[in-house]
Amino acid sequence: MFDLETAIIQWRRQMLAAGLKTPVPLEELESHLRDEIEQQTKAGRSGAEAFAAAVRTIGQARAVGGEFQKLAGGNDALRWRLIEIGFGLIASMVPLALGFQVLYAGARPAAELTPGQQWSGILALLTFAALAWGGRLSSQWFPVARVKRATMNIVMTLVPLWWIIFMNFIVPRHEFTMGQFVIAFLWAFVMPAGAAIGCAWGMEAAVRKQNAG
Amino acid sequence: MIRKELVAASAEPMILSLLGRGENYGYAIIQEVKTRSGGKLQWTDGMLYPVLHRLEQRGLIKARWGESETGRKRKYYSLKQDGKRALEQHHEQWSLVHEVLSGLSMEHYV
Repeated sequence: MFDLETAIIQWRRQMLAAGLKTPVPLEELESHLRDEIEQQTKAGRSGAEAFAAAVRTIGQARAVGGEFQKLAGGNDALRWRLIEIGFGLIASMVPLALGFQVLYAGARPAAELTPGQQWSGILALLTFAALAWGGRLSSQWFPVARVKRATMNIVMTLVPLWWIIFMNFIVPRHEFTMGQFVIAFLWAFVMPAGAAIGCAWGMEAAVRKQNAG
Repeated sequence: MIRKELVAASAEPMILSLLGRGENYGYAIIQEVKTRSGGKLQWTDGMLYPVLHRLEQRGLIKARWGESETGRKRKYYSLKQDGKRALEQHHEQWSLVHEVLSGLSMEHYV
């Protein structure tokens, strides 16, 4: 006597042996198998016939397993999501954390900032955030084909180079007060990082969108 | 029967178009393609799911587990924003191919 549930358990074993994973995609394939069996039964076939026909339409275990294995390499979407979360955190937390420091610097004698300097510092941090997020949000207009990653590499070299020049040559030659140094640091050090983040983030998003399209 | 290469190339726009009309699941997608093509477009059923999963990985469609009318588990797919854009691109490209081909065959008969 044909027992559908036993037959399905055997079919699942064959699929697992062929390398298909559970729950994805095996559960979905089983759901499909049962849909097909229902359909065949409605058309008047016996349980065993319906099952055999449904298994045939899904295909050989090895062929189906092979198709899914081709997919296994591409865990790309998840990786990209993590990268985006990382960029998003940097683009949000840096201005928030530093902005907090700038606003409360007036209370600390060592880093006393005039109200003008405080505003300037906040503006520098807002520019940082605008550049970083702006790069991502405007990525759809990035001319990927022409600009390519070469340009990104240039930006990625120029920004650290500028940082080295700033810290080693510009800062030592000026008699900055603590307040002036904080502001110079925010404009010259932090703000360009925003441009670099926006550039890298936007470029990566644009390349991915192009590949996806 | 339609050649294998063409079936493979048209799978993605077909799936996106079908999902463009609303949420759907694998079995129904295959049935609909079969019916609409008069049985000439036949996918091996097991081949549909890798394509669906690839589209999901690329962020063009999303999936959720729901229930069938009889209460069985069933995975439903629907179009995401990026999928809508990809679908538009597919439509443009396939219309162009179709336009050129039919233009050429018209000239042939004149």
